[in-house]
Amino acid sequence: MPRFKRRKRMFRRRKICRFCADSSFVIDYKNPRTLRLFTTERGKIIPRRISGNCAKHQRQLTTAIKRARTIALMPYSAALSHY
Amino acid sequence: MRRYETVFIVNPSLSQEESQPLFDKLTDLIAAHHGLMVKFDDWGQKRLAYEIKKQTRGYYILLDFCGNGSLVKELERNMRLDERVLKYMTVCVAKDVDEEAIKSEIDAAEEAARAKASSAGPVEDAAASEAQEQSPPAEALDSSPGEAEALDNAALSTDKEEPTDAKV
Repeated sequence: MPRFKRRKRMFRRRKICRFCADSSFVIDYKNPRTLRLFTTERGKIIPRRISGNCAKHQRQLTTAIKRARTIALMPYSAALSHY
Repeated sequence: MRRYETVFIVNPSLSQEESQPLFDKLTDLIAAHHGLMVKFDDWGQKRLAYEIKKQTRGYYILLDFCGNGSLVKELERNMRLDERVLKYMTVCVAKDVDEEAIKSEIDAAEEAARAKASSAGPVEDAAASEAQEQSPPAEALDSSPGEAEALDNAALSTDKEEPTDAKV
């Protein structure tokens, strides 16, 4: 891609998988507090291209979030508070 | 043998006397089906992310155990029939576990708990029981997890302060 032609270039920070960088940061369906970081306020799972997770950890994260949803630790869909 | 984790949600309006027979029944069931109970973890009351059977709060219990598929089947059948259980989920944690390793793990956990209890003096025990007496109404009132954490921190800080007072 010709970089010089695009005048308005978005600032891009290099994204690193947080679970690879910090081994103490574990994925567990019983801990919704860390899982919540990877969902939108609506309760959707944030895609890998935005969160920067690696494929392996994104897969684990997805199953963990889905498990947390089945036992009502996390919402399937959350209503926005200002509605 | 496989290792499973079952999380189930009990109706929060039940009293201790009403829910205890249910817990006993389920733990007995594990023993009756040649299972091995590893941990009975009481998470307490939590806010549900969505309503289940018109309830917005639930009492969470985690069962960590080893056993076969037939045990899980029987356990889930019992929970499905029981009106007190709002929802349950079983997850297979390990497919092939060594019974001896699990037993030693249980012993280690028990020993750690005992060491913790014995290291705390009788004065601190009294303080801890006082703290427990005070905390349940506070827990019942709070609504968000953030508040619960703040309360936990408050409880911890008081625990830390009291032993030093006793020493002085």
